[in-house]
Formats: sequence, C-alpha cells, structure tokens
Amino acid sequence: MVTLSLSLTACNNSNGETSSVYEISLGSDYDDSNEKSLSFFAMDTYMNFKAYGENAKAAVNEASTIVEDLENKLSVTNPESEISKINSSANNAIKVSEDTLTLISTALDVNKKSDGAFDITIYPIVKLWGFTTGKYKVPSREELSKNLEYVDSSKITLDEKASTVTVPKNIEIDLGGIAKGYAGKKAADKIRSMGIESALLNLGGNIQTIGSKPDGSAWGVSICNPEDSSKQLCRIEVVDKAVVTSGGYQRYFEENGKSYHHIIDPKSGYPAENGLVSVTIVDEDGMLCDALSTTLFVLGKDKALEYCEKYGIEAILITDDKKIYVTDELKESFSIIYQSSGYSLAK
Amino acid sequence: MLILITSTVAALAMNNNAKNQDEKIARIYQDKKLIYTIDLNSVKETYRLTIDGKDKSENIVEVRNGSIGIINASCPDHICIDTGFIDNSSVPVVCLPNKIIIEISDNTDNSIDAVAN
Repeated sequence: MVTLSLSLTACNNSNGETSSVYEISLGSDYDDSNEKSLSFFAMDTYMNFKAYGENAKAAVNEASTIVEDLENKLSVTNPESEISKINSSANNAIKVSEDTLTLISTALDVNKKSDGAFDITIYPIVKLWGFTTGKYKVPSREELSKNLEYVDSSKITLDEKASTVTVPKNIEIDLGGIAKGYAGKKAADKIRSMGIESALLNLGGNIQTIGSKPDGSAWGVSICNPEDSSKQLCRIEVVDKAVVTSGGYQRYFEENGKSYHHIIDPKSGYPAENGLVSVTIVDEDGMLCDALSTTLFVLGKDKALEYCEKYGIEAILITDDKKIYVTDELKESFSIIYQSSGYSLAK
Repeated sequence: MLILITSTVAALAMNNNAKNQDEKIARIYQDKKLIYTIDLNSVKETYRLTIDGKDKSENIVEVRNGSIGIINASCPDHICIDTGFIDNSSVPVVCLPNKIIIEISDNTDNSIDAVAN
C-alpha cells in the first residue's frame, strides 16, 4: 500500500561540492494528513523536514533551500563563506549579512551572560583535538596554552550599523554551536509564513516544531539515554518550540583508555567535565536552544540551574550519577521512558 | 448464519490490522539514491549487506528480524556503528562520511515524534 516516489535534485555549492536532496513521499497509508517529508544532508549533518497540509511540499523545499543558503554563508570550511572571510581578514572590517550579524551578536551576548562558557572563538582548540577532521588526538599542554590565547570573544568587534565584523589575526570564529539552531528557526519562520500550521524539523538532532501535530495534540520529543543513544530516556511535549540536546556521548574518541568528548571548555581547552552528561534546552528560539545547550553543559549542574533561574530558561539536565533535573515549566509534560538503567528524577 | 458473518468480518478486520502493524520498512539510501527497501518484520534469519562507495568506502549493514544497524564501516568516526541497531522511526542510522542513511518508517508508536540528540 505504501507508494514511494523519489525525486532527485542535485545542486552545487559555491565550493564546488555537490550536495544532494532526496524526497520521500509516502503514499495513501501515510497521506491522511497530507504529509510531505524531505531528507537531506546540510551543515555536516542529516536533516529531515516534515510538513502537513496544503502547500506542504513547497514549504519543505523552500525551507531546505534556506538551510543550504545559510550553510554557504556560515560554513567555516567553505573559503567563500562570510565566516572564512572574517577569519582571514587580519583586523580588516568585513561586511556581513543580517544572518551573520544576528548570530555573532547572540553568541557574544551568551558569552557575556555565561562568563565565557560559550565562546565562538574556540575554533583553534577544536581543530587541535581533531574534531573538525575526525583525526582525533589529545593535544599537548603547550599547544593548548598557546592556542588558548586566541580564544577570546572580547576581541570581536561588531558594528551593527555598518554591518561589519572585525577580528584580529589568529582569532577564528566558528558558528557550529549555534548555526543549526538558527537554521531551524529561519526554516520554521519560512514554513509558518507559507500558511503551514503543523511541521516538524529535525536538523541533525536539533528539533524544531511548528504548531502542534495535525490532530491538534502536542509533539512528543524524547531525549536519548546518554549511555546508549539508540535507547530513549525521557519524553516531553511541546508546541511551537525547539528542543536541542548537547551531550558528551554525541561525539567522542578514546585514547589510552580515556574518553574525550567534543564539548570543549573555553577556559581550560579540555572537554568539559562538570558532572553533566546531557543538557536539553526547550525554547521558542531554536538559536538560543542551540547555544545554551552547549553553554549549560560547560557550566555544570549548579551554575546551569542558576542560569535557567536567572534568565527564565527551560532545561533538562542529566548528571553522571544518573539524576535528571527538570525545570518547573517542563515538569508537567515530562515522563521517563527508559527507567531500567537506574535514572531517576532529582527532587 | 449471523455468527458466520460476524466472524468473517472479524477475520477481515484482524487481517487488516495485522497488515498495518506488521509492516516495518527500512530504507537504505546511498548519497541521493534509494538502494534497499527491507521489511524488517519479514526477516527470518539475520543477514548482512555490504555497501561499497566512492574511494573504496565500505559499510556493512546487518539486517535482523525487527531491527537494522551498521556493524562495520570504513569511515573515520564510526558514529554509524555507535548508533547501534534501530527498531523504530525515531532515529536514523547515518554515516556522514560515506553518505549512507538507514531510516525505518513504522506507524506504531505515536507518542514519540522526534528524538533530540
């Protein structure tokens, strides 16, 4: 009964690589609510956009184009991107788009509020650890301390009137910790503007919901068990919100029996070890969710909870002693799915 | 007579139900192409598929009754292997370097629409 139609589109990025988009339309069995689903690779990850109702097909297509355009502007590995131009500018003001301005200005704001736990100038350190290439290694202390000098968001000068960004030599920006969330937000805005009232966007595990499910009920979003990401640990319900999780389990390598994950503490240059194994943020603003999931992971449980309290952020924190902390507003729709592994709700 | 009709209707209804619930379709994509469609619930014995790609890349997929996963891969990060075996539509197995996606479409669990990861 399920029919599958596959339409292929190939488009060329400005760096000459071919990126691909494929579309799955599920037939009658799945078509009661007029679902359109589009899966594609962008921003170094797998994405799936689903929308319901009239216009759904055009909406997911246009939304995916928005993400691809953003990737071209923001990718740190694409020499033509605005970010690459900033990184090689050596103290010359670089004219940038509204998107880049918004992202950098938000990143600087979170950097200040978190006392440096989130820092988009961490890129030289991330490179040293090999998380950009997959050629992982533990850097020497000398290498780290030398490059930590270049981790300093206060060296970024943003001129919002002139739409320019200036950074000194050796300072390199990477928006990897915030760009996917922003892409989800912009894609969602586009989809809403096309009259869609129900859609679900998955940007490599960053979840962005638009409205509620076609039947009017809330979306159920689950969070992985940090010890086994094929299993699910807990579930919340959301309407019109983004849900973003950062965890050390998502990307890591082992050397001499010790495990090193990809969330680097900008102060030490080492993977953040503050007792948290996973942080999930729930908010209307997907960009903020993305930045804050990393930030709160680096801050550790106590400071993370303080941050939530102070700035009105809703979060789910999972600690290495298997406790789950849930902020007040999320408690109502929160449930544990996979309890056999000994996780429990903190008081 | 009435009993006969009722039981026939019941049998038909059961048959319909069984058909919908028993379907668990895995689809394997390489780059932009659908290369396999497998009904995981009809798998009797575990078997393996080797997917060859560009630059001698290789992924070995193990197909089990009800689940599917990548058990060996030439990629540097092995995130695809670490994902383990999937048995529902919530998370795909993705090998980014070799451009492999394995997705399951099922219609059984309505309580989870997406996994934040």
